[in-house]
Amino acid sequence: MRSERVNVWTLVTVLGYLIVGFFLVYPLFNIFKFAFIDKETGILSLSNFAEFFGSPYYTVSFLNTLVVSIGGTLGALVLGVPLAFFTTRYRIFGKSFLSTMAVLALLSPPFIGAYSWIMLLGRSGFLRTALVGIGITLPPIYGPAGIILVYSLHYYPYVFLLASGALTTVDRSLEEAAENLGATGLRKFFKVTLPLVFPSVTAGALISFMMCLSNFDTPMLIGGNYRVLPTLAYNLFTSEVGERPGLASVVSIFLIVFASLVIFLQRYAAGRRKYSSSLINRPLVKRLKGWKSIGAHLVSWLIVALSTVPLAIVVLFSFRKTSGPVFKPGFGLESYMKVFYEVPKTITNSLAFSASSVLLIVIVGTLLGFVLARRRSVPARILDPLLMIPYIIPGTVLGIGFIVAFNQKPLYLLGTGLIIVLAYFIRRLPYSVRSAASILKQIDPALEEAGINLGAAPGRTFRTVTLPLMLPGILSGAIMSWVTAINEVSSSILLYVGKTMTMPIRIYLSVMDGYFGPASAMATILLAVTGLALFVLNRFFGLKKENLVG
Amino acid sequence: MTSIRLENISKKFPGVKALADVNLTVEPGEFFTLLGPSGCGKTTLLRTIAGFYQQDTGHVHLGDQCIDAVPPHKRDTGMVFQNYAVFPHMTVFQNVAFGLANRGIRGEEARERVARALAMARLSGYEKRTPDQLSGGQQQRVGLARAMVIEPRVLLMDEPLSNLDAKLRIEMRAEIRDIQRELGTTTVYVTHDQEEALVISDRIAVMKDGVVHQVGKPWEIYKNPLNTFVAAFVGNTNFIDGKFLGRPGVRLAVRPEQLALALHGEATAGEPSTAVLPGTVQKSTFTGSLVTYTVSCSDGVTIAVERHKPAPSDILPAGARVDVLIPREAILSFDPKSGERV
Repeated sequence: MRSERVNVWTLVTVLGYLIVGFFLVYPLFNIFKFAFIDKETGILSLSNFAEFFGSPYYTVSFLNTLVVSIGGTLGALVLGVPLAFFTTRYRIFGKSFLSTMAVLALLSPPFIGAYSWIMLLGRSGFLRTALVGIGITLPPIYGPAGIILVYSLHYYPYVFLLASGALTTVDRSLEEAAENLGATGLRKFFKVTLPLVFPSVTAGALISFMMCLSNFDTPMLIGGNYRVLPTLAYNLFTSEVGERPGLASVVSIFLIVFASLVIFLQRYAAGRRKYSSSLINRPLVKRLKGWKSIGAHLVSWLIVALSTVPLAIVVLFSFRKTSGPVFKPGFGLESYMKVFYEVPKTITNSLAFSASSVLLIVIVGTLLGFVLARRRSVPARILDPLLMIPYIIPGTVLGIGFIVAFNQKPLYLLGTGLIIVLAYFIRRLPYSVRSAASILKQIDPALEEAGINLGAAPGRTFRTVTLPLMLPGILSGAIMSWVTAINEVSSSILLYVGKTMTMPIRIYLSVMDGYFGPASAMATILLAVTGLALFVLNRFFGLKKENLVG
Repeated sequence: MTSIRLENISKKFPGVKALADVNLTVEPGEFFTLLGPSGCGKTTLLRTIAGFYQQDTGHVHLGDQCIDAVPPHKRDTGMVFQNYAVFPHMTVFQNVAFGLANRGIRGEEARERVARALAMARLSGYEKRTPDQLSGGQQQRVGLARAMVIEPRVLLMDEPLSNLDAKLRIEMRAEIRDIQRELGTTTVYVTHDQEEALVISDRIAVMKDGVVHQVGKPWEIYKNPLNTFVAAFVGNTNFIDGKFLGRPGVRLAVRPEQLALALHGEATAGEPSTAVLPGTVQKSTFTGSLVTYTVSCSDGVTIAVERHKPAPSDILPAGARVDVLIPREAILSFDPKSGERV
């Protein structure tokens, strides 16, 4: 008698389990199978793990990953916290512009930043050449320093967004009380303000850490011979001289374990007491005077400029004259011509794949979000953590899993656009489910009960009451999903074939081949659509950090 | 007009027994109130009738029909919610027409019925407004109109007035009562406000810890509480250990308005119908229509005494020596262990 009635939501729950089963458990099971089965004998063994730990070639990448992830996270903190503090507490000219630019930088693929820094500071980068001319020699950009630079400048918006969210919701009276008791200035900041926002800053740092951990394209491009776990997995899996799927799976497992640990820490940090209050007693935004104001502006604008300059460089270079792979003096549209004449298919692919995945994400994510937020049944509660799995699976690992899972009948999907759409869909699903659930938490369940009480069946109530109320949240979530899908690299780089190539992959390959012109042109197109989407989002819905940090 | 019969209803939530074997019958057309402190199970019981909770044991009958297996959207009940639950994305008209559309009633008939319901709820002219343009009281009127327009078999009201301010609450409870009388719809009303329950109800069920302690007409509940919980929860009551009035072994209760004060020594002692307890005034609280005295008698017994229509001289200073006069026929006695009437 205690179980809930069977209705449309029961079916949705079953659908959730099917998705988890087919597109997560099954591929991951295959990865585990490869990792724990000896290649020669075909029996269960730890030989792959033994081989991994037996060779410094592999183990060093373990340490390398930690080095760049910690470095990138520290960098993100150093940039994100001051920016958050200055823009929330002081009157900074162009504040909303700064935060939009920071988000734009965050949403563009990190490798665009990497590639731009190579153009600036690479072996023949023009900034390096210019500096050498006046006697300054910079350390090489390739390797850990370059990776950390790119990570810091790419992921600091996570820290910035979470910290500024917390800073604006700290109850003003607490800081006033501190002042009243004699703590001012830095003492007040370190004794009261910072401890109050610490949980949010920690959460931002952990998200950055996880992103650094699983990022693949940056070290691939700017890492030189510096191997990290995601690039190692990729190379082991795709290497033309002797693929080693077993070892690649071992690396994948490490990545998953790592990410799970981080998630665990993040949940712990988020679960600790939150101090933000919903009272309207918001902190005052102070107007600074004189050199203090100049200083705060300088710091804020410099941070955002450093992270957006790479994007500007790319745009600039896309309009330069080229001859084959070489840039020539003057400006022209050759790069764009090349893109439109030679690879128009990548643009239509990108649009088609991202649009189809968004359709899937919106429908499935909203329905599952409803189940998680409104159903109290045991199956629904178990589904909740299962749907978070994609969050801890690096794109590279998901790509490997998909390849090994869907390379045989009955589900032979290799080389299809569908497999890429599915990869986008699965990677974004946790975000959209969470965001739908959090929108629902702000909708009073009594409204749905009123609908049902007035004679509308649960499905009809959802359509006529719940859905219209969720719509703005769903639309803004959809735009975010689209932006992340169209910029996705790390799983699609494993899953694409010639006819299913997408824009980010084309950019990546052009950069690898040294064709910077067309790469810049295509990156500019990608940036333009991303920026347009963000503009629409900001204009009509307001940027919400839930969509970015899940 | 439909009766409601609740038969052996029990409901457990993890760790809590929300309803313990509840048996109640609500007569056709009756205004029936579930009264009790928060967590007593009154809302759980109401939601069980609506179908939002499924009871663990027992049966719910509407009229002759057992509705245990009927899903909530087919139960044909009209619910009014504590926090209004007015659809924020619809106009007042659309809100009220919502339930009609679900019953296939559209067009002219729907417009007429909505207009009639809005007129009853005194909301004519507000059809095109959206809920964010309405005050809390107006939103609840929409909730009321929306529930009654479908002419449900029963109306269910879950603390509909508790989010409104005191004055509006008093005004609207009279309106709700008038509308219910006019429609004659069987109504179950949930509240924790005993005064509201006394004013509005035909009958009241007083609940605590998932158990119905007493069912009766308002004056029965007030005048003749069956146990100390009901006596304490409905109205104000002085509890006095029986030994102070010559009846050891029982717990006595008497309402403050039954008592009178006399300056010490002025009372005619020895009258058999009146007991006298000497004491000292701690404070006199003046609330306009009456003065409430807090009198401390011997052995730590504190008694509240009310005097209506007070004169200026009735506001006694703290420390005044008085006698509390207790008419014996107003005293109720309870078993000190079980709390039941003896």
